[in-house]
Amino acid sequence: MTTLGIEVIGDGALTDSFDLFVCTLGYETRSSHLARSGSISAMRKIAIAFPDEDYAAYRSNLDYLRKENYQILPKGEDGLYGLIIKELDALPIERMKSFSILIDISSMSRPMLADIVFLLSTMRETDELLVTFVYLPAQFVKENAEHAPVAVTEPVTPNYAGWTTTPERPISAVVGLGYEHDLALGTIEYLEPNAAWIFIPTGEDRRYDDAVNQANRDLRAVLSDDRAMTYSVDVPTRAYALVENLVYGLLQTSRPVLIPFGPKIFCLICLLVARAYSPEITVWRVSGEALARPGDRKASGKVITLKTRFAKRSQPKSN
Amino acid sequence: MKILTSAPSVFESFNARNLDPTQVAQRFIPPRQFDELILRNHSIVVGPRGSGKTTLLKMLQLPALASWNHVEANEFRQKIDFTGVFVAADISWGAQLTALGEDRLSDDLRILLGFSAFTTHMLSALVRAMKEALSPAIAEVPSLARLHVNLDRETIAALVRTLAKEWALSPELPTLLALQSALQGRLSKIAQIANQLALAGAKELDSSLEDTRFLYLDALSSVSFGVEQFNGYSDQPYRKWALLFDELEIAPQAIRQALLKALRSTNQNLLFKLSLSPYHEDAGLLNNAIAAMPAQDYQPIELWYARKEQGFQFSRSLLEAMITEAGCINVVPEDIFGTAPVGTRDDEQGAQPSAYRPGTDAHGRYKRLAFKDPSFASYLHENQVNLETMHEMPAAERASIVRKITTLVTVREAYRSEPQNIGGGQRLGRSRKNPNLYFGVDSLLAIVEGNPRWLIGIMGPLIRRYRDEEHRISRATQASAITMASNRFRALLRTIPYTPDGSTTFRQKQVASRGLLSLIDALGERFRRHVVIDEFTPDPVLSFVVDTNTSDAMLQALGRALNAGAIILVPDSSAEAIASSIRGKRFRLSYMLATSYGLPLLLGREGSLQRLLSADSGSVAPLFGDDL
Repeated sequence: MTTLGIEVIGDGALTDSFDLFVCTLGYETRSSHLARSGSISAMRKIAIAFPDEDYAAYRSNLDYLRKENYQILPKGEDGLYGLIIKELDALPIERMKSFSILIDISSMSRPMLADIVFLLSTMRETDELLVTFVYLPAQFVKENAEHAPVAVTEPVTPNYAGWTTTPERPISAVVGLGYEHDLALGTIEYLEPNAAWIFIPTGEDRRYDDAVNQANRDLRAVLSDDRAMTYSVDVPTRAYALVENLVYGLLQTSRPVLIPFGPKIFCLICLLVARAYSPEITVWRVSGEALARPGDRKASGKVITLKTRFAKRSQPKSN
Repeated sequence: MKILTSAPSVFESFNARNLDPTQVAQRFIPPRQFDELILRNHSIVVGPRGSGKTTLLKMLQLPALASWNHVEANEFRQKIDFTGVFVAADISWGAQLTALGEDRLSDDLRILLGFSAFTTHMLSALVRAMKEALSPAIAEVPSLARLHVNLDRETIAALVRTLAKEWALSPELPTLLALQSALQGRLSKIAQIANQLALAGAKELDSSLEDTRFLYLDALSSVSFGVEQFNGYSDQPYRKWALLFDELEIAPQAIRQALLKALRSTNQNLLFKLSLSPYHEDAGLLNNAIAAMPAQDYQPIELWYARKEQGFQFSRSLLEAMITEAGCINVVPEDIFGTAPVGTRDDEQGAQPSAYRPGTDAHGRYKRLAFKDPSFASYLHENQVNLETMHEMPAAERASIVRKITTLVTVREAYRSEPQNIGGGQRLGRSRKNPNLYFGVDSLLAIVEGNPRWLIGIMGPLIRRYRDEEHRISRATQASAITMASNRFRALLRTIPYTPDGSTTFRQKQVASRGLLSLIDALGERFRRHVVIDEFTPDPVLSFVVDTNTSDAMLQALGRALNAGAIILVPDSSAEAIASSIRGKRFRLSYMLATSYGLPLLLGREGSLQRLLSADSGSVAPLFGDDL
C-alpha cells in the first residue's frame, strides 16, 4: 500500500492558521475546550461525534459546536476522508502542498486516533499534509485510577496488526505505562516478548506520576533500570525521537510490538512510529468495557502540540 | 545504543520461544514425556502456558540435538530417526494473520490469503530443516550422523529448481538460502495482494492471474512434495520428517481448521507433532483429525501434574542442573533452600514420630491451634488425641489422624488468630499478614508445578544469590520471590478478558475489572475461608467439579484459566487429551496461585463449583449467580 512518510518537524503552535481543525464531540467537557478557547484559526472546523455518549457534557458541547458552525461528522464513517479530499480539491495547486490540519486528540479513543493517523498516512490524493496534533491533559481525578474490565487484548485496529516476513523472529515490546494496576506487566507476560522496554510518563501532574509508579511497582521490580525510560508528556518531540530510535534498533533483530498505555500523546507517538515503519510494527491495545458511565474529564489547562509532515517518500518504501 | 546490548531482564531469560535451538539445548533436562515424544509416531503435547511445550518441540530440531550436552543425550539421539521441522507461532503473528484484510476483504479471500501465508511459513521451516540436515555440524556428532545428508552443489541446485517450480517461486540463485529468501518475499507479496484487493474493492480473486497462482498451493501437498524431492535427491526414500507445530491454537480458527483437515495426509514419511493448550472450542475437530491420521498410534503427551509429587523428579533434575551451571559444586538444593515444613510432602516427610514430640515445631503449632480454635480442639477430642503424647501413638493411627492434617494445621494456625470480642459479637481477629509458609525445596517444587519457566524464573536468581553470598536463602527471601512470581502470574490473568454473563450491578462489574483474575480470586477466597475460618475439617474442599449446568460463558472462562495454567485438571480415567468440554471435570487451583490465598499445597476434597461460587456470602450479591 502506498503510504506517506511521516516526519516530526517540531512542537507546533496553536497560533498558526489551519485549513482544517478536527476535534471530537463527546461527553467530556475537554472535547470542546479548545473550541471554546477561541484560539483556533481554521478555515473549516469539524467535530467527530461519538455515538451513544449523550450524557455528561455532551449536550452542552453539541450546542456550543453547532452555534460555532462546526460540522458534526458521525464517527466510524468515511466522512473525514471525503471531507479532506473536498477541501484539497478546492485549493489552488500551489496551496495543496501546505494543506494544514489541526487535530485535537484529547478526547479521542485509541482506535479512533489510530484510524485518523492511518487515513492521513494512506492519502493518495496529495503529496504532503502538515498535521499538528494537540493534546490537553485532563485534570487529575482519583477514580481515573480505576480501570474497566478487560474486554479486548488485540491490535488497536486491524490496520495496526502489522505484517512480518520473518514470523520466526522474537517479539520485542515497547510499553508506555499508565495508571492501570499491573496491566502493563500482565500484557508483557501475555505477549511473551524477547525483550521489553518501558516508557514512564512524567510532568502531566505529580499525582498521575505517583499513580503510575504505584500501579507498576511489580513491573519495575522485575525489569532492569536500563530498560526503563522516562519521557516528559510536555515534550512529545523528544518522546517521539526516543521511541523511533529504539524501534529502529529493535527492528534489526525482532518484531516490535508497541503497547501504549498512559497519556494519549504517547499512543499518538506509537501510531506515528508504526506508520513510519509500516508494516513491520504492531500497535497493541488492552481495553475494557465501561464500568459505568465514566465521569467528565476537564482540561487541566496545559496545551501540548506536535507538528508533523505526512509526505510522499522520495524513494518509496516497498512493503 | 547501549540498551540494545544490555543484560536480559527476567522476562527474557527463560522463554524457549525466544531462544534458538542451541540455546534451548544448553539447559535442557529431559522430562519423562520426552521419551514418548521422540517415538516415530504422531504426538500431541498438551499443557498450559509455560509448561515446556515449545522447549520439547524445539529440542527435536537437528541443531538442538547436535549441541545438546547431557548425560543421556547420546541415548536419545540414537533413538530419534526423523528430521524435525519447527513451525513457530506466537500471539502477535496469530493476530497479524487474523487481521489480514479484516474489515476490508471477504472471509473467503481472507482465509485464502491467511492460509497461503501459513503455507509459506511452513515451507520456509521445511527449507530451514533441509539446510540443517545438510549441515556438517550434524555429521560431527556420531550419535546423530546418520541423519546428516551430503549433497553436492549441483544436486542441491537441482533440488532447489524442482522445489521452486512446484512452489511457484523464482529464487535468485539455485541455493536453499535463496529459496528461503524467496519465501520471505512471498510473505511480503501476500500483504501487498491483500492491500491491492482491498483498495480495488475486489470480492474475489481472478485465479487465472499468473502471479497469484501460488495462493492456491495446498500446504501439506507442498510440504510432502518437498520432503519426497529431498528424499529422492539424497537417495533416502524412507527418511522421516516431523512437522513440529508449536501452539497451533494461535493460528486463526479458519486456518487451524483447514490445517487440521489436511493432517489426514497419507504420506508415510511425514509425522505430526503438535503442541496445544488443554482446552479448545474446536477440540472435536482436532480429535477427529488426529483419529483419522494414518498409523493412529499417536499418544497425547500431558505436561501437567495433578499431584505435585509427579513433577518433582523433573523439577529437581532441572534445579540440580541449574545449581551446577551456576558453578556451585557439591551443593544440593536443600543447602540453598532448606527443607520444607513438616507435612508438605504427603508421601514421606513427617513420618518420624519424633517430629511430634513436645518441644518440636509441629507440636507447638498443634497446641497453639487447639488453644485458639475450638473446632480443632473438638477434632482432637473426638479422635482422642493427646497432644503431649502424639509421638507415642501407633504409627498407623498417627498417620490417619495427626499426620494427614499437618499441612492444614500449619496454614490454619498461621492465618487464624484468637477469637476476639468486637462490637458485642465474637469474630476472628487479624492474622499474621505474612507468615512465610512457603519455603524449602519441596514447597518450591510444588509451587512451580513442573513448569520450567516458573522454576527458572524463581530459583535462578536465588541460586546466584546463594553462590555470591554463600549462605542459605532466608525464608523471607524465598517467600518474597514466590510472591513476586505469583503477582506476575496474577497480572497476566488480569489481562485475560472475562466478564461474567448477567453481571449487571456495579459491584459485579467492578469485580470483573480484574479479568479472569476475578473468577480465580473468588475461588481462592472461598477455599481460604474453608481452610482458615470455617469449622475445622481434616479434609477441606480445595478442588472443584464443574457442574453439568454451568453456563457457556463460565466454561469459556474456565477453559482460559486452564490454558493459562491458573487451574489444573485432575484427570479421571475417561479424560481426553484435549478437552472439548470441561463439564463434569475436576480441577484444582495452581499452587502458584494458592500461595496468594495462603492455601495449603494440597489437592483436597472436591466441591461443586456452583456451590462454591454462590456460597460467597461475603458479597452483597452472589458474584457469579447468573453465570452458573
